[in-house]
Amino acid sequence: MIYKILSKVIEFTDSDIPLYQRLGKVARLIVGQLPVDACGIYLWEKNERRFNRVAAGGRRRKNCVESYGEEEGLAGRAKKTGRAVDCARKEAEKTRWGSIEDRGLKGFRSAYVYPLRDGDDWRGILYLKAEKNLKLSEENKKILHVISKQLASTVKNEQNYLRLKNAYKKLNDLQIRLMNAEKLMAIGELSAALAHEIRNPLVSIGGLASRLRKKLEPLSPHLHYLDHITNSVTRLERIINDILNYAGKREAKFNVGELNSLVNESLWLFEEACRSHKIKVVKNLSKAVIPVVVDPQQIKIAFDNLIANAIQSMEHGGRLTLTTAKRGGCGVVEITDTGGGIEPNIINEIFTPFFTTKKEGTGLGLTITHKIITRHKGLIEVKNDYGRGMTFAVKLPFADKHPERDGA
Amino acid sequence: MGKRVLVVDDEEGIRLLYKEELEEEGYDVELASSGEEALKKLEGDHIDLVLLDIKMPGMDGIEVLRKVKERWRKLPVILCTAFPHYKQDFGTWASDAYVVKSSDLRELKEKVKDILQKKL
Repeated sequence: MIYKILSKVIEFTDSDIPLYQRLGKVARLIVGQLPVDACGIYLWEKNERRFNRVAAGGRRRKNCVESYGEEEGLAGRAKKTGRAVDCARKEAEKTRWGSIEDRGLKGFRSAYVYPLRDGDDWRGILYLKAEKNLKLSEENKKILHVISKQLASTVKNEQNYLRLKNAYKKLNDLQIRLMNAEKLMAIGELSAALAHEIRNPLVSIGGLASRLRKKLEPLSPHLHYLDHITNSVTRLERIINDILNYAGKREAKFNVGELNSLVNESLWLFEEACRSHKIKVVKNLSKAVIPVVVDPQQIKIAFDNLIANAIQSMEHGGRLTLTTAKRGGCGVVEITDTGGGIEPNIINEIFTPFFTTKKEGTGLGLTITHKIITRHKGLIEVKNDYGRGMTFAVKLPFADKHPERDGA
Repeated sequence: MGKRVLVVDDEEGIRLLYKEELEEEGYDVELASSGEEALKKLEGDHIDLVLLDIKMPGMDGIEVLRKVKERWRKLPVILCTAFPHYKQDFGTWASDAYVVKSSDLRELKEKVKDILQKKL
């Protein structure tokens, strides 16, 4: 008999189903095997300092109170003494046992409470109630003690597992960020190579074309060939300058800026584009002033890129929503479009240099944006609602929380 | 006699272009395609100014610059490079000017003229 119960408890607590379901099975097992009418399992919430019910069994399971404060009822008594309450016997109608008030006692004559803990670490309580006068045998009490131990270790394992999982996720996120950082380093090197390998030949082409011009007669019919060469070279040189200025290691010049006005300044550039694309602009800007430490020139490039991206994703009209807020020590800007988002399997690529989903994109816009935000010791987050749209959230440190003012 | 300018660059097209353009301005132009060759030329000939590319195979321009400034402290050097970021590199601070390469040579010629006039 004992072994049957205990082996069932172990089978249930060791199974692969979610924790609360496992605890529910144990609660039902207990009411099936012992003459109790309600069995509640409560977990100790360290932050709230409360016991919260997570599972219950028995005919009168609905009478298990949802939650107990640290010093409330029989749960509080067990917590205070560190020992089982064994057993509270009273008149059925009252909610009071001795000096202890417990709403859950109404309609019950007996109650037992077992702590779920190992050492000083509280995991919860096991709360049993019977309508009748119930005196559990010593053997049954021993079984309940063992079950409590097993439940405590189950909860502990689960909590440790969650902590590990969390740590693993953080580590994983960090690794991804590191990889992004490496990609950005790569683009720096790439642009250096680009500059050298392309600019040098361009200097020769353009410079020697100019020399040729001097050799030709002033009215030579061949001059217009040279015009084409010179114009093309000038254009290419300008593109290289742009890329280098964006991707380059220009020292950032940090100052205190105001987030709402920075967003407005960027948006202003795109008003005409929004009108012609039939895009409705919704401004959800914070009424409060949000001082952030920024290099205004760079941060505007970042905002410009994000707004331009949003607009480009809505070729057939849509809604562009700009939200600013103060949140958790940061100034936050959210730029949301209704352009359908992007396929989830390529979402990880969007910050990769030269990755683009557009016909005429350079694939550098988001890479540069990411780099600028990182340089500001900020954070950029993407919410991709595939089929609907995307939100880019940029978080920038508040002005008073940014002691280092030199470029990263 | 015209001033002598030494052009150091590993790209033949650029050496040709600089030579012709600077000769047109009235300078004598010597050419070197590497840092090593440039130092040899400086040993032998009298040179008034060096135009130095940074990114070259073998000894790079910054190393050449250091060697030049160690031996001929007053010889002016203009660094010419495709890559503007070197401007923040301490190694380039010893140069007398820094020009980002462009097919438009006006800036370069201006700097050459300025420096050689100052020297007089």
